Amino acid sequence: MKANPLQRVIERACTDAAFRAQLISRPHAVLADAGIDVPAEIEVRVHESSEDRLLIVLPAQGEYALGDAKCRLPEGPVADVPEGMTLAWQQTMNLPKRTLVIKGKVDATTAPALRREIDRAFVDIDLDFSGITVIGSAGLGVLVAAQQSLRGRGCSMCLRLVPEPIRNLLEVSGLLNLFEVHDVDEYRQLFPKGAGLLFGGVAPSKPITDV
Amino acid sequence: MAERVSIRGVFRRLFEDSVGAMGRRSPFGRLMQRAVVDPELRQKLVRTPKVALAEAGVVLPDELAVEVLENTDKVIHLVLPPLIDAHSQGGQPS
Repeated sequence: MKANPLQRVIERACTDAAFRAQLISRPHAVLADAGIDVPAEIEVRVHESSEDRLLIVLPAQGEYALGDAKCRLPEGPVADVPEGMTLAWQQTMNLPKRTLVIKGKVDATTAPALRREIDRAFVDIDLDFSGITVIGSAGLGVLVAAQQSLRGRGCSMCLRLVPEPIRNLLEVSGLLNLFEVHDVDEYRQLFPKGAGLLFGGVAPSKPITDV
Repeated sequence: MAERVSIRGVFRRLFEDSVGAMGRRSPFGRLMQRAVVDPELRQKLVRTPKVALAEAGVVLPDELAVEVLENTDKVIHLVLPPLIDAHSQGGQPS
């Protein structure tokens, strides 16, 4: 998965003093340069933690709760799906993500309904592929496009339990590396990653050269 | 490839990655997850951060000052770790 641009900004600000000064004085402009859009009505305040002063940021209230209106996705089978495919939303273990279970054929007739459902998501989602029998080029196109718009909302998408033939299809069509694909065991190990830079200002363990 | 993303989205991902890295079941990870939805706990964290942290089982050195910054619909706080001089002895050799 692509690095979080905000994480990269913070990491760079750990080692690049000039960049850090810019970020503190003109956060909107620096974030915009990093590809992060900040609406004009939002104020960004940049703070520096030190060894004797720990700063903790509390996310805005309710913003990340699954019950929040913005994140609300239906639970259970999805209505208005063309014949040949079924869709259902489920909780993803105990994680703040949702799983869309796809079954049947994802072709030119059914793919638009899949796109519509993914476009409702404002949380990270998993797509459960285990029940897919056929996926056509229209289906593959929808996956690529839906992933792009999800990323625009700061969310990610992951394919789970991909049957062998479909995995092969993704591979030969050169699309496999566009997606995050996790099998169950990999998935269990998925979350312990990412640097916890934000809370408590833990510095990265080695100098960051990547810009 | 110039892909644009929203500040709220990337901030949320950063938060979730942080909680994920700390462990969702760690005392601090659990505290932060609760604080997202519990107004009383938020107030307590802002007013008496060390007390709220200690009650949740997050014990910190006495001499460390703790301040909690609260994001709202209008304000997003970013915290930068201390600046590291990559060339000094302080940083770990790569």
